[in-house]
Amino acid sequence: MSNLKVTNIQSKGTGFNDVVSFQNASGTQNGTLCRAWVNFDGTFGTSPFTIANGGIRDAFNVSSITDNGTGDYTVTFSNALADANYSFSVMSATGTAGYVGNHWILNDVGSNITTSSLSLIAGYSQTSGGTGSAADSPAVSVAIFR
Amino acid sequence: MATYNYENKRVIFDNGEGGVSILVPSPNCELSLEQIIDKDIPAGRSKDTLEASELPTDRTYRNAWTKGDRQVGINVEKAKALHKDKIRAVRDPLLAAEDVAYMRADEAGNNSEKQAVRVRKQALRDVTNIVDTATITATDVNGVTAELKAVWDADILGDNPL
Repeated sequence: MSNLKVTNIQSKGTGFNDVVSFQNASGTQNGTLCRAWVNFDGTFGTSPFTIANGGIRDAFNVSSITDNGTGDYTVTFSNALADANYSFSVMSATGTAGYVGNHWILNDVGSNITTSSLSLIAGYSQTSGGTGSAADSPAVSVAIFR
Repeated sequence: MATYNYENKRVIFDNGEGGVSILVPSPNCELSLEQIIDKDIPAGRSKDTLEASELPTDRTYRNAWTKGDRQVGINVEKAKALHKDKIRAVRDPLLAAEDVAYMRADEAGNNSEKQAVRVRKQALRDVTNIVDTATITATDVNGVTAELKAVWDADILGDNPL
């Protein structure tokens, strides 16, 4: 067993999508990197994070969050991804005790999942199985894997 | 690594549907605000860069906000429609409870209670009319929001949750 202890690993290419490949001993790819992530305050108004960090607590490969309406957000990437076949993971908090939990709705796959951005709507239902409605979320986390 | 001091900036722009979108720049993406605007806002949209402190703080009627001249405005009619939705959300379980009360009165043969339930249900059905007749004098977002939130019939709906 050997350990690799370095500060940086550079890919040979200079493009954002020239990613380092992780492979097993047979040369089969066995892992990929997170290509973008962000943690932001989707209420844009009352959180102490909003002014201090521009509403975005921290991020990688994200140039902006756009507030399109109640619970309606667009995450735009600093560097476009190779294609729109990426996987995304989203979590959010309701910020209100007693609500069942957030679900996420994609309005239209074609226009809301692109190489340059991902649009999402946060919502919740107040009862289990109840009708949901869009709502701002004070803690939204998005991670993109490709 | 370049650093930019724009974390308190917001860019409002016409969303193309009569409303306003608000861009929040990421503080560590190594692009200038101008580069972010050029890249992230669709071409041809009216836009203004504001301080975060210039934006309305109460987002109750966020979907009625509009792109004004260097400020966020509000469409009062859209805000009224949103307020009616909020009233309906409170009213729906009250109507359901009255349905139960009516059935119980019916089972008991209590005609006077059935009539009382009819009156209360009609009052619940009509309660959104107060929004149509409300006179909103403010023109700015915070003012309109405050006035509209106060349009509430606590006798019929109970405590105002807004």
